[in-house]
Parts: sequence; C-alpha cells; structure tokens
Amino acid sequence: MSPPAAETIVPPNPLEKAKTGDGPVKIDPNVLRQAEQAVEELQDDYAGWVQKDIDGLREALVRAPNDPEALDQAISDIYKRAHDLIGQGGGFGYNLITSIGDLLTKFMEARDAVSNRDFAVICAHIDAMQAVVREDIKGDGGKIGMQIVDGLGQLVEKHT
Amino acid sequence: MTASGVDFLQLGVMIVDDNHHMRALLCSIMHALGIKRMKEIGDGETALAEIGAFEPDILITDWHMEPMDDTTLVKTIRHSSEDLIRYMLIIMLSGHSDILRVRGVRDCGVHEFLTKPVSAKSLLARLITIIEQPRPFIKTEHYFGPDRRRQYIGPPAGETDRRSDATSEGAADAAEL
Repeated sequence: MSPPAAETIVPPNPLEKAKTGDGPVKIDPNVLRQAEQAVEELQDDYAGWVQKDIDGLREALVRAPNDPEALDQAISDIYKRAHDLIGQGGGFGYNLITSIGDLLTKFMEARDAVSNRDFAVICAHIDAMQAVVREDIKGDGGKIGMQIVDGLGQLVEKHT
Repeated sequence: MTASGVDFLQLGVMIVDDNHHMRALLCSIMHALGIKRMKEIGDGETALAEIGAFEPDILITDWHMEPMDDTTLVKTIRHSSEDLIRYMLIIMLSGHSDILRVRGVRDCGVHEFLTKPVSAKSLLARLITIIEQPRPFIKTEHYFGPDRRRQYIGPPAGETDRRSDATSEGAADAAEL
C-alpha cells in the first residue's frame, strides 16, 4: 500500500526579521544570565504563590471525604493543582516541589478511582510540599530532598 | 537587545497558559531576553479571539488548559484560512513527558515541545532553534503542520513510514527528509 501523498510547503519565515547577520544564531551567555536572574527575582514571590496552591490542595483534600457528591471534583482539583505544581516548582528553583507533584500525580494516575483510603498518602505528599516551602528548600534539596522523595516512594509502595 | 545574531526586540510573542504563575515566569524570561511586544492570555478561546489582531510571531502555549481541551487551540490555528495564522510558530509546554503524549503534541502541529518545568536556558534554546532552523510545512490527508521528522520518533499515528518510500514519493517528499 503506498503511503499518503504529502505536499511540502515553505512558508515565509516570520523570524527572519529578527536575525542580525549571516552568521549562526547562538545562545549568548550574557542574555541567558539576564533571563536566569529575572527568574531568580521571582523566587520570593513564588514562595507566597506556592503556599496558596498548597492551601488549595489541603482544602480540596478536606472537602473530598466530607462531601461524597463533590468527591470527583475534589479529586480533579487535587490532580490539577498537583500537575500545575510540577510545571512551576522547578521553573522557580523549587525542584523538590516538582518531584513531589510528579510522585503525587503518578500515584493518582495509577488508580482507577481515588478512594478515601488513598487520602492519607495524598496528605503525606501535601505535607512534604509544605515542609519544602516552610524550610525554603530550593533545588533538589540534597540529602534532605532525597529522604523526602524516598520516604514518599516507600509510603506509596507500602500502600499499594 | 541584539545578541549572538538575533534581535529579540523585533519579535512579538503571545503566551497562553491558564496558570497565572506560569505566565509570570514566561513573561519574565521573555522580557529579560528583550522581547517587548507580548500578550499573556489565560485560555485558548480568548487566544483565538485575539490572535488575529495581535499577530504574534511566536505562540507559546500550555498543552492542558481548561475549558478548551488539549490540542484544540493548535488544530484551530492550523485550520485557519489566513496564512499569517495557520503557519504560526508554536512552542507547546506540558508537564507530561511520556512518549505517547509527546507524539500526540507533535501530531497536532506544533514546532517545538518543551517539558515543564521550563528554564530560561531551555526556552532560549527552543527560540533559537526555530529562528535558526525554519521547517517546512507538510500537508497530508491527516496532518498539516511543521515537518515532524527533524527528530525521528516513529511514523505519525495512523500513517505509514514515508522515510522508507522516499525514492518513490517524488521530489517534494524527498525534500523534507
């Protein structure tokens, strides 16, 4: 069977106007440093933002078991917030927030349905994020970061 | 700002993400690079409503946003009747990195895919890639978008591998390989 016909189109390159010479475009270390500094300047703001996200996670966790009709929505809220935290944490220098969010979403994805029985594990992940923010642990957290991640992994394994 | 062969001041960027913190991060990086013409938007529907008037050179969008589902924004752009919009340069961001999801993003017609968390370095590298290595568009029965074969991760879903048939596909198809 012959593959589907393909047409190749070369559209005008809208970025051509930004090139300033015939030479190759490369990452300028000075420009990169400026961009990285801009991100670092946001880290203090993020520490406040992430606290609100953690509060939102905890609020959804409290809401879930007390309102069976709202359970699905609460679980969905927890997953969405955890997923957002994966994307943000490392971007703002809090890589452990990303790691813990990743563990939490994978724990939830591994279940056909999240039940009340799973809430203790979810709560442990939220507590771990809270500890990262409280202690202002940036980067991967070194030895403490490894202990947190390993501890959560063991908890999930024990629960499963 | 002119640096290493590119003047970012010349570019307009639209940032679409339903998370305010991510938009703040992305705008901060863009601003530091020297990009002044920026628009940040919190949902796909508003982005579609404003993209024609703003005319960005590059669209940076999150994959999973509500209420518009994952790839509708990109697919709608690719189906636009206006060339300026349908050939839009798109960088998609996602917190997911597994291969099936990456293939899904690739197959919806984006230029670049970037896994969150985003760093200034990774974003700058993607910008330079799309400036330095413009890609042709490919139109088939099932796909319209940038050539997906720069990084080979298997044939697109539902399609046979045109690489192995390059010699029989004629000059146009051979040119994309």
